[in-house]
Amino acid sequence: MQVILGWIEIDDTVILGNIFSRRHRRITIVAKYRVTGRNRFPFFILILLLYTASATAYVGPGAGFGIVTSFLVFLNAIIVSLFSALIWPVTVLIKLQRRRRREHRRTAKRVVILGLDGLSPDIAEKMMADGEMPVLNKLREEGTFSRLSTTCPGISPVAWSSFQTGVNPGKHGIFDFLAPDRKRYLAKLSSVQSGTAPSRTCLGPFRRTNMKPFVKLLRKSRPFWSLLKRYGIRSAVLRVPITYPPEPLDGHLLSGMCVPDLRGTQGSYTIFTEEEPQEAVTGGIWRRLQKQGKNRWRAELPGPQNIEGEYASVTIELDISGESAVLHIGKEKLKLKKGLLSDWFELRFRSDRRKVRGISKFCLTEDSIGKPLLYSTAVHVDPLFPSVPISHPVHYSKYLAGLYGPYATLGLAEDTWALNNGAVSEETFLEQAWSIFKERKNMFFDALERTHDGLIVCVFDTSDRIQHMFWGKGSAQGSPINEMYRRMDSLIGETAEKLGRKDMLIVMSDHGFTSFHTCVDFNRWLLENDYLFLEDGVETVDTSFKGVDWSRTRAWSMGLAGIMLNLRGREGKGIVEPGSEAVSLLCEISGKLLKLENTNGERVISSVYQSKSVYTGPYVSLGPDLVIGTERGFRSSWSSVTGGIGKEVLYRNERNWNGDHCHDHRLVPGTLASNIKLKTENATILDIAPTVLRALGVAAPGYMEGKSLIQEGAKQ
Amino acid sequence: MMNAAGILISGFFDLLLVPFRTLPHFWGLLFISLLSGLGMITVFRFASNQNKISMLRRRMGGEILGILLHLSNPGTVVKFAVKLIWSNTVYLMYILIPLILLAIPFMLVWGQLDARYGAAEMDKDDPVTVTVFFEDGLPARDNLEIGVSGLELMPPVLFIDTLDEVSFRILPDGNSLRNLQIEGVSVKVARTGDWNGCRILRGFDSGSSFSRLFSPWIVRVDGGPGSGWYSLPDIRYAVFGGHWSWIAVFLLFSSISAIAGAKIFKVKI
Repeated sequence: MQVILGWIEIDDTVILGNIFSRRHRRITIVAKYRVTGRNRFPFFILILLLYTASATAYVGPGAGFGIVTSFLVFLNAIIVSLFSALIWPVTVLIKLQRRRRREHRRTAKRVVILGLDGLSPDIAEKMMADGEMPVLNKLREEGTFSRLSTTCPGISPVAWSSFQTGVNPGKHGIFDFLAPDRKRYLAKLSSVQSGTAPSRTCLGPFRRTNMKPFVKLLRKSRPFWSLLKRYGIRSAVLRVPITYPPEPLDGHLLSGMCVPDLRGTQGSYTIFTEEEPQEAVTGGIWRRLQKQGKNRWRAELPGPQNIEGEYASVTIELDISGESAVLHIGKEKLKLKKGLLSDWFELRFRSDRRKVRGISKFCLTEDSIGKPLLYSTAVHVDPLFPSVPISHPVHYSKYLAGLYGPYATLGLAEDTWALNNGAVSEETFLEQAWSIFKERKNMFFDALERTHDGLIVCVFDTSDRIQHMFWGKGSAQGSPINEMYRRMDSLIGETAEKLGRKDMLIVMSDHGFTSFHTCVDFNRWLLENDYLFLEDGVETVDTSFKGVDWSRTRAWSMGLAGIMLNLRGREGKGIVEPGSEAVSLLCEISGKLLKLENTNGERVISSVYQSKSVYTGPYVSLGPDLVIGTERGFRSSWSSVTGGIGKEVLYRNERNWNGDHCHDHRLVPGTLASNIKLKTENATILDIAPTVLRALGVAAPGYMEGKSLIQEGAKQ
Repeated sequence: MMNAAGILISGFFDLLLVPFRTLPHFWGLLFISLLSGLGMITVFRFASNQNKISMLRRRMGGEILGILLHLSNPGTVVKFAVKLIWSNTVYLMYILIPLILLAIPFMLVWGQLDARYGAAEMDKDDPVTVTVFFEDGLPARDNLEIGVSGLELMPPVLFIDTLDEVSFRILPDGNSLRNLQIEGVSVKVARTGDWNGCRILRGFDSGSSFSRLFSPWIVRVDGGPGSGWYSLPDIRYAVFGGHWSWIAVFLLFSSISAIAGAKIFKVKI
C-alpha cells in the first residue's frame, strides 16, 4: 500500500494522523500522547523518526549511507559467523590430520617467545639481586634464567636471523647490517634488496614493458615457524628482525627491523628551521621553514622518491600561538604542544602517479635562538594502506591498525639519529620509545588473546634503543635504563598472567650490552699499516671509499666488525691472489690487530676470527674475511662502517649513542629465561628454534645446528 | 505561519527549477538531486563527529578483518562479530544527530519532489475522480453547490453517508487554470503552473498544520467542506512512467553527488 503520512498537530493533548490510501480511504490514528513541556523533545524526535521511516528508510546521503552500511555490516557479521561455524569441523579434521605428523609428543600447547632486544643478563642479574625485577627472579627460581650465547658478531640482524633459522650466518647469509658490494666497494643493506625490474604484459598482439618495483629478502634458510604449517600449528610472529618482506606462513606475521620508511631509507627524520644548520644532518633531512606572516610558516615535507629520484612532498603550514601550534597539512589539522610529540598523522603523497600514504609524528620546539624548530619522524609506511608488503597476510597490518590505531612500521622506529643530532630532547626520545612499546604491547596481547595454541613470537626493540642512547647514565634507580628494565619485568609478568598451565614462555634477548666510549677506525688502521692506500692528495674519506687507490689496497673494512681482502677475481679491482697469499695476509692483519692498544695501554681488540673458522655453510663467502671482536668500550667508528677513513685510529665517541653490543660476541651474551626448566649449559641463540620445535612436538630438521634445551622426560 | 513557510519553500523550489522549465522533467529532478546530495553531505559533515566516525569505521574495519583472519576459530569469530555489532550500534548513535538534523530538510525536499515528479498533470479528456470529505457532515443533496472552471463536471455526484463523503468526476477541457468551487470555496486542481516541474495538486484541506510543509501536493483552502483529494490518472507519471520512478532517479543522483562531495571534501560517512 502506498502510504503518505498526513498532517500531525502538536498540541496539548492529541496527535492524530490521517493516512490516505490510493483508494482514498482515510484511517485515523487512534494513538494519543499527552505532550507536556518535559516530554516535548523526545516526542518531537519520535515524530521525526516516524516521518523519516516513512521516507522508505532513506534519510539522505551521509546518514543514509551509514544506515545502509550498518545493515550490511550486521549481515556480514552474521553470515561470516555462520560460515565459520560450518567450516569449523572441516578445519578441525585437517588440523588433526596434520598434527598426526608430529614426531614427538608435544610438551607445550602454546609457546610464547618474548624477545627483548639487547636485554643484558649483567644488568638483569644485578637488578634481580636488588629485588627490582621480581618476575624475572621468580622465573629463575621456578624455571630458567641464564645467559644465552649470541652469534659472531652479536649484532641484531645476525643474531635474530640465527634465532629464526637455527643456523649460523654461513647458512643464512646475514653477517652484519650492511653487506659489501665487492665490485663497487659500496655498502648495501644485507637483508633486503629492492629496486625496479622490467615487467612485461601481453594482451593479444599488444606487448608492453613496464618497470615495476620489487623487494626481496636476502636471508637464506627457513624460519622455524614456516615449518609448523605442515603440522597444523599456527603462528603469530610480530616484529622479529629480518622478516621483511614477509614470507608466507600458517598464521600472521608483521615485519620488523629493515622495513623501510617511505623514502626507502632505514629511517630518516626531517627537521624544519628557518636557517640552514651549520653541520650536515646525519640520518635525516633538513628543510627550510619559510616565514609567511608573524606567526605563520610554510615548508615542504619530503616523502617517497620517484623514478627520477625526486621527492614527492606535501606542503605543511605551521601556525604558532604561544605554547601551542596548529599544523595544517592539506585540509587536515594537527594540534601541537611545544615539546610534546604529536599523535600519528596521516600523510598522502603522489609519486609516479600513485597515491602513497604514510604516517608521521611531529614535535615543535625552539632552536638555540628561540626560533621554531619542527621535527618530523621518518615517514612510516601507513599500516592501513601499506605501499610495501609489511605483513602476512597483507591485511594483518590493517587489522592491527583498525583495532589499535596507527602504529610504527619502520624497522628501526625509535629515532636514535634525531637524539644523536640534538633534533629531539631525551624526553621526546623516551616518549617516542615508550609509545612504540605501548603499540607493540597491544599487538602482542592481541596475539596472545587470539592464538590459543601454537606459536607466538614478539620482539620489543625499546630495550635495545634505550640502552644504546642512555648507557652513559648507568642503570641506577631513576635512570632510563633502570626504568626500562623494570617495565620489561612488568611486561614479562603481564605476559605470564595470560598464559595457561600448558603454555611455555621463553623470554630471550639476542645479545647483551656494554659501553661504547672509543671509536676504532679500522680503515685508518689499515691505511697506517700499509694495507690500504689513498690516491695522491687525499687524506680522509667521508664515505664509500672515495679516493682510495685500489691498485695498491690489499684490505678494506666495511660494516661493524668486518675486514675484507681486496681479492683478485672477487673484488672489482682486486690485487691479492687467493690462496696462500690471502691466507698469510689474513694471519698478518689478525696478529697486528690483536696488538692494537690505546694510549693507556688498554687492549682494543679481544678476538679476530677468520670467517672460515667460525662459519660453515654455502654463504660463508658473502661474509667478511676477518671478523673482529672489540673489547668493551671500543667499537668500529661511525665513518668506517660505511667506507669512510678518518684522521685517527682511535678517538672518543662524542655521540649520545654510547652503549653498544657490536663487540667481541663473548662479551655481550643475551638472556634466556623460561617458565620451565631448560638445559642451559652452553645454550646459544641457535638452540631456540630446535627447542621450540621440540616443545611443539616437531623434530628439528637436520640442517639446524642448535640443540633442543628441553630436558628429556619433561611433561606437558 | 505554516502556510507562509510552505509557500516560501515551494517558491524557492520553483525558482531553482526555472532553468529547466522547457526541458523534460528528468533534468530538473537531476539538478535538484545533485544539489540535495551535496547539501546533505555538507550538513552531515558539520553535524557529525567526524573524528569519532573515522575511528569507529577504522575499528569496524579491523573487526571485519579479525573475522576473516580467524575464520578457522569460531569462538574468535563470534567474539569479533559481537564487537562488530556493538561498534555498529555506537556508530549508529553517532549518526543519530545528523540524521535528526537532516530529517526536516530531507522531508521538505522529498515532499517537493513528490509533488512535482510523482504525477503528471491531468490532460484533456482524462477523467479524474474527486472525493470530498465534509467535516461537519454531509450537506443536503439538493443544497450541495459544485462549480467548475476549466473543467467539465461529469454526473452523477455520489453521496457516501457513512463516510461523510461526496464523490464525482471531472474532465479537464484544456484550460490551464482549473478551479473547482465547492460550497462557495474555490480550489485549484492538479497543477499550479504551466511548466515542467511545477507542483501537481492532489488534494485540498482547510486545516493548518506542521505537516503541510511536507505535503505540498495539498493546497490549503479557507473554509469549505474540510478536505478532498483527486485521483489523478494512474497511467501517466512525470518521470519514466511510474509514480515512484522519481525516487530511483533522486536516490541515484543524490548518492552520486554525495559520494563525490564526500571524496572531495573528505567527509567520513
